[in-house]
Amino acid sequence: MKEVTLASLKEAANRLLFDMSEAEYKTLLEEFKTVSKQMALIAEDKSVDNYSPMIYPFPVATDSLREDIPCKPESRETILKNAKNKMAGQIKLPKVVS
Amino acid sequence: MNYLDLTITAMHEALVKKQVTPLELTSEAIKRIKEDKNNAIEYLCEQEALAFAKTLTTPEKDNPLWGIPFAVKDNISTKDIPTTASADILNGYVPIFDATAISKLKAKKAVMIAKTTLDSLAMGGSGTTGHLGKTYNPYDPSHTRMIAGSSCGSASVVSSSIVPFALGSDTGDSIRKPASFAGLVGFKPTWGRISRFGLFPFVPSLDALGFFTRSVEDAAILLNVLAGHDEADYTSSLVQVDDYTKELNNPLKGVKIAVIQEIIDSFTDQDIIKRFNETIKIYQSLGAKVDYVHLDKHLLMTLFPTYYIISCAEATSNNANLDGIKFGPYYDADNYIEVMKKARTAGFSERIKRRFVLGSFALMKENQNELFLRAAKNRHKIVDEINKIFKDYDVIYAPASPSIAPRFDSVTNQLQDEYLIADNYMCIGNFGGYPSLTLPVGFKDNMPFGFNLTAKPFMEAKLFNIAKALEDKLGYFNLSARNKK
Amino acid sequence: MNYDVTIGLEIHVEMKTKSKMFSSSPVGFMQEPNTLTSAYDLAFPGTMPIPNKQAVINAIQVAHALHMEIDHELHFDRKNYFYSDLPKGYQITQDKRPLGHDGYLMIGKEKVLIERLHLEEDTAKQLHFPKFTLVDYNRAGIPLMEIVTKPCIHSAEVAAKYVETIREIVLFLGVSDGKMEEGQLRCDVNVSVKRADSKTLGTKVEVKNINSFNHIKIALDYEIARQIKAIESGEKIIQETRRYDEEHKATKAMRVKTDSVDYKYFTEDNLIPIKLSDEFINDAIKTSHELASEKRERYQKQFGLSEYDTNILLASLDITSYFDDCAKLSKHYKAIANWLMVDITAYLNKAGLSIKELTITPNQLVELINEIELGHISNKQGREVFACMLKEHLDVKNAKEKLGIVNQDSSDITIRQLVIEVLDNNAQSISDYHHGKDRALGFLIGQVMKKSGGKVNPALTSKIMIEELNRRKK
Repeated sequence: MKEVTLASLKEAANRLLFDMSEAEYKTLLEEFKTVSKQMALIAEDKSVDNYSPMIYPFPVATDSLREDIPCKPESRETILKNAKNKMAGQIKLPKVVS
Repeated sequence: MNYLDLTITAMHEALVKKQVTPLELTSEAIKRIKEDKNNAIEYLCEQEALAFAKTLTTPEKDNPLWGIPFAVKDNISTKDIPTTASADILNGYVPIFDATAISKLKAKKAVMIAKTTLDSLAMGGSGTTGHLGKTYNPYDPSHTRMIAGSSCGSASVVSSSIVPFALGSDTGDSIRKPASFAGLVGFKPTWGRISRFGLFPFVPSLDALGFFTRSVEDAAILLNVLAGHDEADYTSSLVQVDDYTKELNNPLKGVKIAVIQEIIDSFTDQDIIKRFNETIKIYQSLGAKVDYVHLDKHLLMTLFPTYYIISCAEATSNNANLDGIKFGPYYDADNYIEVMKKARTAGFSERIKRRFVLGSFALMKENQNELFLRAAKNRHKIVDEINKIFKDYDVIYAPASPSIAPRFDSVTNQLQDEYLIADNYMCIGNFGGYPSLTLPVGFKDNMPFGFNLTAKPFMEAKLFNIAKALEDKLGYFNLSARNKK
Repeated sequence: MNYDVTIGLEIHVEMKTKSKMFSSSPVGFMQEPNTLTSAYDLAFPGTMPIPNKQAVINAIQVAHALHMEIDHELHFDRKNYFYSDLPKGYQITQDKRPLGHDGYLMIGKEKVLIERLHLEEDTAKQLHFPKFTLVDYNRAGIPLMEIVTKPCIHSAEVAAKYVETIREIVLFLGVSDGKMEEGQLRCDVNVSVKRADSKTLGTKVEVKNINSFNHIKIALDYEIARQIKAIESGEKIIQETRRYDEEHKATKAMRVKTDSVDYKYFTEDNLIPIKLSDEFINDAIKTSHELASEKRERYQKQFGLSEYDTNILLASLDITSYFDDCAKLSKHYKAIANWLMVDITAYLNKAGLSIKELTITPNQLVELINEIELGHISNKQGREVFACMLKEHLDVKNAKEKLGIVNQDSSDITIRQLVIEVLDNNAQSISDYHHGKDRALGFLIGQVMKKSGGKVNPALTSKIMIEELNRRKK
């Protein structure tokens, strides 16, 4: 387990592309303590690890796939109408350096 | 009496008899919204609703939703109508498509009146974290009690008789909990029964689009319209759709109801327990068999952490599309990382950020086994145990909330049984994808409370049958804060 | 000192399906920006992925061509990361269970082991300007398949040949046009070098941005030499990502690889498992287009074409399609190949056209070839007819009429009579021929042609002339 510290929380927030105030990080650290105690409840039951992780609420599967038939695309005006920074029919960003 | 105070069924009759017109109902609903003080509305579709209602002149006898006004939780996509999930990061976003549920209601010529507020991004249960801050419980004019969330606005407008039904979403108990505090029928269907296309995802495998009504019959009528496979939602079920009203009035003889002893034990409000026991007697008198069954208390105490870990983890990913670039407020900066970071820093509330960080911790490679995957394994264990109960029983029955609506300033100890079990057990319905319904059963201090019934997947018709039998017996039908008895 | 070179490749192939991987938006290349999109491609809230059947079929066909085990259930995962070209903040891919696993491809005598083939979706395309970047979502969501080898290749040459073979496979299966220059096929290469006597593994360096088949070998040769030089001078090889710089024919450092990025993979729960029946998989395989390797063998074994001719034809999928259409109509395979390789190619090159734009249909070409093979017209006349057909858009019959060409006489008896007449009048030429002067034969045939007014089949005339000359040998 990665250690939960102010620094590791900040790094995690940073990777999620947002920041918080110092006070907020401290609240979060406290919250982690509660969650850790709650999670410890799960860890106490050793039989849990014998189960496979549940992804769907009940067994589901399909054999149907979408036929490869193109739809009429949205007009450029429609698809970009919610974007604020645009140029020449494209979304404009500060230069992306790869 | 105003026709807008009726249930869907009664309103439909009045419309067919031309005692009232869709335009009159719509105008009255708009008027009530403008007078409403409960902080329930994100966007009032005044012009759109009036214009549409005006076109509805010939009643459709066989279409129970013709001309019926309704409201929609603001995390459901509505074409050309702003939809923000009550999150700043989506301010100004105007969808270019309708959710499938909206398309179906439009096809039935129901009239969308408003988009309702919610806990921002549906991540919260207090009904206090959206754009409008606190949403008030219409039963409490002093505005000290919550209605709870996340579907707070939808619960509020149905409870205030502004509309006879409203769409919501339920990932943990976001419809069924506020329904308890608002004296309403709150229903979440089997996972995959109603298309989620257009519902902003929180945890796809737990999310359900459902609704609030003021009668069980109305819920059955709505499910008839909204159920069914949708080619736009790959997880929507191909299981045959029923007529969900067909079993409504069946006798309860032979019905088997399970009460999980350890859940009831976690309740401390004796008035609730007393009422619960009374309803059990009613069920027994109706011919149902009610048994107390056991479930490991320790397992029940892990319900909430299991839910919390899974939901926070998946929420980070489901909201990673929110970056101010394609929609939502754009923030200029020197590089794209800063563009996204500014938008996300300003656009998410502190509470949501905390959940995201927690969720991302649970997903990290070095933590995933111990946190996210262990939670998913525990979910499996829980559902296996519940399915064992469902081998012998039609429904599981319990109070839907520890008590009546709490005050905004109440404090809970998050490690106590009452919080971990009584206040949070309804996520079982989402873990197993079960259909689940809360209905009003009583009042305490002039505030309503409700009980919850959860059934096996795709057994909605049976669920409505069992719920309606109690509704009939108790007479808690078409309750609203506006027309308090 | 000897060095061990280890190379592994990751190839992304962009498919040319009609619609995208998880949305129905049309797939197209070189179109106006943001005209081939729908709400899903820009990750509008509430949109959901719906998988494309043809993309699955394509992946099965390629996996089969690479001798892979094919999973009978499709599962998808999310790869979570933020980037300006990634609309959802995650990419749907197959992390835990790829569609295909454990295959191989023979490159000459070398067996390249292939670890996995999986389906995923492409990102948006970014256009970089000095001060800003523009984003075009037409590409966002186009089906991709990623093919990953084991680190089992030991030379730049085999690596380059492997990429070319993969291109040929996807091209001939009709899955992709495989144009590297247009990004339809992208390859990232991991290269490590160690001293042959060293027990520790070499440091893995990733080379990106190789945009042309011609650059693969150059880039890898450079990178291998660079690493050897570094080892010899005692430098430490850094684990990093480098890019190929076309201008300097060299690899340049891009970024150091720190702890590998944590993509926080988890199952995509907006999709449910997809069961692929044996019937579905077998149908996909049965309906596959013929692979280049299969065509190559068929052309040589069944049609008797040379390896040289076969390779020329196989350089273009469209040429082989045209050839195959003709070969269904006529057994003059060599003649068909010759027309395609020589006259038709010359014409198309000159006119700047592709074979798809050729106005002469396979039917017409076969008719023309038959005219020649039956001796109705000469090769020379055939070319005239061909030119006339192109120019005037005529069929064979009308082109012949237009040119005033009448059928050559091919009756043995008529020709033999003429031959005998000519021989009777040219005793000197007969004697010359018998003394080894080959020119005499040409002269004699010329006399026959003249007498007939050019209406006899030259090949047949030559054959009969030789027979008659031999008969008169003393």
